[in-house]
Amino acid sequence: MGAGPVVAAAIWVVLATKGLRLPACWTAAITGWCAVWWIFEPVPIAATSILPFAIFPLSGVLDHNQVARGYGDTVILLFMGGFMLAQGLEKSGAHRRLALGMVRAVGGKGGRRLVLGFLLAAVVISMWISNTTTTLILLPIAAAVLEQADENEKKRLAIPLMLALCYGASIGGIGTPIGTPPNMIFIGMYGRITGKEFGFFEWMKIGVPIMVIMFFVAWLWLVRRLGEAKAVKIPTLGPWRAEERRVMTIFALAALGWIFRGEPYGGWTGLINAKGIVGDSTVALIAVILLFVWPDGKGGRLLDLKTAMAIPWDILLLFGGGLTIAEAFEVSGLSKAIGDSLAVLSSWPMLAMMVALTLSAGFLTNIMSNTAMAALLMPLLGAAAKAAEVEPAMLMIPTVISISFAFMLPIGTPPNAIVYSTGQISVRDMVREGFFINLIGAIVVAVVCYFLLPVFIKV
Amino acid sequence: MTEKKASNKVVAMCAGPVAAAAMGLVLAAAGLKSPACWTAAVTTWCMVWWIFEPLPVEATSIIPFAIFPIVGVLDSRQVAAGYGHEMVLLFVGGFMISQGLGKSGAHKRLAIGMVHLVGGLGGRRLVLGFMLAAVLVSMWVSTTATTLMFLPMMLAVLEQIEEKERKAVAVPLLLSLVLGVNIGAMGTCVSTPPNIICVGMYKDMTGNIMSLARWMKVALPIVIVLVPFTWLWLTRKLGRSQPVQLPVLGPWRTEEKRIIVVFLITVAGWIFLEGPFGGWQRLIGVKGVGNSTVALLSVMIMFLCPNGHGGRLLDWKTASNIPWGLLLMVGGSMTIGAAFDSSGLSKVIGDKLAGSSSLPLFAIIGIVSMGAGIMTNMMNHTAMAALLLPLLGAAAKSSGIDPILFMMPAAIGIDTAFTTPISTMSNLIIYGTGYVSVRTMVKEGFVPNIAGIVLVAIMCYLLLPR
Repeated sequence: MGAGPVVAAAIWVVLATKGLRLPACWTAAITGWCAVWWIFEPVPIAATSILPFAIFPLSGVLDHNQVARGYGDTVILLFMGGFMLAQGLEKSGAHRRLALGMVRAVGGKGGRRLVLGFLLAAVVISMWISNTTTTLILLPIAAAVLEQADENEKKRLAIPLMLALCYGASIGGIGTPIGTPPNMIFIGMYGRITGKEFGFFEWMKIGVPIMVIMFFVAWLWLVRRLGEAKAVKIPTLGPWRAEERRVMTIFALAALGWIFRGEPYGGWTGLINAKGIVGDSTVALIAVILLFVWPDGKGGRLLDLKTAMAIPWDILLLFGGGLTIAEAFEVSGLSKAIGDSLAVLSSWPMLAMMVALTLSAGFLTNIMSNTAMAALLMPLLGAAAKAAEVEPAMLMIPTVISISFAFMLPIGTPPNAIVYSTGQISVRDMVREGFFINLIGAIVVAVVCYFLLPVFIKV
Repeated sequence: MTEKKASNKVVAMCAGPVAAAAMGLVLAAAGLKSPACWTAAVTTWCMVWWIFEPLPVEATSIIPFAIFPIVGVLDSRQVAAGYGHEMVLLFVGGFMISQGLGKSGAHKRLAIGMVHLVGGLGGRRLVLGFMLAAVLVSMWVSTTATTLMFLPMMLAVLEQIEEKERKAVAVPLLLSLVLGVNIGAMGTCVSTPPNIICVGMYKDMTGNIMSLARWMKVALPIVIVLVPFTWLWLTRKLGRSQPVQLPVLGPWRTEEKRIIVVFLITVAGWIFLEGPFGGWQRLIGVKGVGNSTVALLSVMIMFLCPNGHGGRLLDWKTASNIPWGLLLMVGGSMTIGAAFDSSGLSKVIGDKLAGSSSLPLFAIIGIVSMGAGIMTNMMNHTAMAALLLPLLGAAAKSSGIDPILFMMPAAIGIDTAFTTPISTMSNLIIYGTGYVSVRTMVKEGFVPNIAGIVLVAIMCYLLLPR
């Protein structure tokens, strides 16, 4: 706990003697402080997120209205809406049915196909709801399937099957902006740094190809030692209930609304003449209101207050803290100072720079909270990219995607921890299996971004 | 849920959009521009749903964020900015402090001290005591800070009251706090934003200074009449109830001592933020510190300070137990304010009020205080003051009247918006306790609201020098 302020003071003194302006020193010091606390967690991560809100006005970097603005960003509203939609989906139980459906359709034959089925379900579902929830709903199904196998088979099947859940959840998270918090942090920061909006569909154009490649990489690697196996019975659910159908309808409408918001041909916002006015957050919040209004067919509504308010507010605070840091970077001039000192990087070839970033982010994320790491790295990279005169997204996107690739350690991300807690796999298993995927993942992300980003991002 | 209740809900649910459409059509027929009509319509919709609650209040608060972009009044970034208001952070910080006090139990000691101070009896005396304390403090300290200060004590007092009697006492007690705070703030021009804005603008406009003494000469009589009236109104149903049973607390525990110290420092931080002599932020050489900064610093300290038996004064589990959904309501009301402004609706309202300047002075003062007092129930009081006061000042100036004659009734009129959670933070904080519904607030606040408006008109007419 003491380390935070100490590091902050050290940074401040070093930078001040170098002749940096005072606000920039303060910004760097406070960021260092947050970094130490976010990594070692002497206080809860959310509590640390309050720090920027409290200290920036005190040090005169931003005033109290400016720090509050960090909390009023469209990404925060989008994520709030996305979380509430996911809560509605969970309340109805429709997500469990979807998961089962996919596992049954693909995995009924057992063995490699079984792992494929679970991996597919995890990936597809975690595109839309949180990685943690995805893992939690698939876990009991996987456990039920494992129960049927005999001792010998169980031993071989347990590791690939369990890891398919958490790896699939992490991989699926990169598919959409709402899949996992780091993606949203990127979008928020990108908007702050460049003033341009990074839309839902734009993200998917990069995220989905990487997701698909990683899906097959993970599958082939996990099942490399599995031979043919006998068919397994997968638990069934009854017919669709009204509640589930309705939630799925609204969810599908929201997804369509996000994807076709601005394109093709101006999208639906072009049709109603609201292009640039209606944002992704608007779509999410309208869907939430619909859930609140629509009856669930048994006397209640599709979403009630208690369920909706159970969203992780601490992550929203973390978002706000991160955005406030980004704002301070710009306002204090720290961003420029960092950019100048990192300008040497611009002599590196772009691909080498990307690989360096994805490798370091991919391995570091195994010991650090994904969201906090994104909140810290994004302003830095944005500043560096600006100084090196490259499009900020070229550095930020590969990094933020790699941040989701915590495959090696149980503490890397909650899905890993959940799977580890079943006792079916050891840390050694996870490190052994995850190391390769981490490594390949870093390269895949760098290569795909290198080739796809210039095509899709209008620089 | 009974059949009837369910169908009532459906009626209320439909009433929102229907009322909105009616409002929009009427205004459109009156020749208003389309964004202004939309703003009025969406606001009406929210009001109907907030009051009759076919949806939870928090869910209704999402409407401004979702609908304004669709109808083109504000874009998605502008609505999000409403959620990033300093008040949202103050709300988070203030409630977390309250949670910290509650966790240690120290708020009970504060409450006992307070009850002794106000005369230790139950029922009406108790309400009067708290109300007087709130009035006196809020004359000098920001209304929001005053409310946050008294709230933990009041909640502790309520915990001591028997379950079945609690509900009956809770409403008058909590409302006496919020009304007391708002009424007290009318008395001076230092503690609530509308009055501060009024004095500041008056100076900018005319070069004359409305001194505190001049302000109080007009405003203090209003406070003196309104306080007993409001007290009698709020406690009209309270019989002679049992005196509050005060628990006997043992010696002070470390935890309690520490948190009380943090709390007192916080209160001092709020009070001396900007004055006297520039306040403590001048001492450390910055000027961007707000009430929210103080609150969040205090929360940080609670997270860090050990509680003497292995934990901290505040843990995240306790802290995160605040009414998060109401942040949406704070943000929603800010967004409505922004929409009023950018759609030009506020200008229309201001022009209408100011356009009456050819009427006799008493009528003008009456219309101004009435308009301000009623309209502010639908939007944030600071936003209202910021947009209404310059229009009124300009109108008065152009017809050769001292602007203060228009501005002061409007500012104090704005302070009488007691009836909904959205007009002031104090109202919202009290709503956040969960003891008072929007409907109760409207029912109990309406009479003092009207009485306040009438009083403001009379006193301003009689006491303001012409």
